Amino acid sequence: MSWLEHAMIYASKIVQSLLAATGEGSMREAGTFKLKGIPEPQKIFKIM
Amino acid sequence: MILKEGDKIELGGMAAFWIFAPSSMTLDILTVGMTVTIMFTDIVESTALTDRLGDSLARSVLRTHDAFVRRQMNSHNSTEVKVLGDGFMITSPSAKSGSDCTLAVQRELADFNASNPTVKVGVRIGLSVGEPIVKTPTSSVAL
Repeated sequence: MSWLEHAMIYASKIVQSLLAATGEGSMREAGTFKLKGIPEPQKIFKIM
Repeated sequence: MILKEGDKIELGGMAAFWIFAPSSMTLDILTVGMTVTIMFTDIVESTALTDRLGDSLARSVLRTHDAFVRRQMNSHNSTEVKVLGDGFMITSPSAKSGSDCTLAVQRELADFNASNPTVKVGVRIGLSVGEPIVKTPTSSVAL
């Protein structure tokens, strides 16, 4: 199993979008988290 | 921009944290209107790690972690903002350099763990991008 599968690197949606736009990085959605004052759950991505 | 203890920094609504500076600190690496990538590192269950390894070895592991992070920061044009006990707050000029930095830290850590199977230290790293602002108790100030 690759070391990267165990690496705990989490990125916000904007990071995921920026890297995807340039063809960099591979990410999967890793869930959501809640920010105080913001009603919608925020997506979080794990760099693969 | 001088930050004082208790000032809050927000980054595009995605990251928020309090500055627990023992005294006023200058955050001169951030500029008004500048978009930056901010990263936080954190050793997984560091208290349990200290219990498991003992103080001396745990401190050695912490120093090793610090060296990995600082070496990769320097290699990826990134800047240490502050140490957060068992982690760092880091800025990077781009999402690419930030993610490359985090990957390089994790690769070093994986090599370290492979060579030290009885230690096995994990580090979580989170990153986001935005234009930071500082919220003081009385006002919000764009950096």
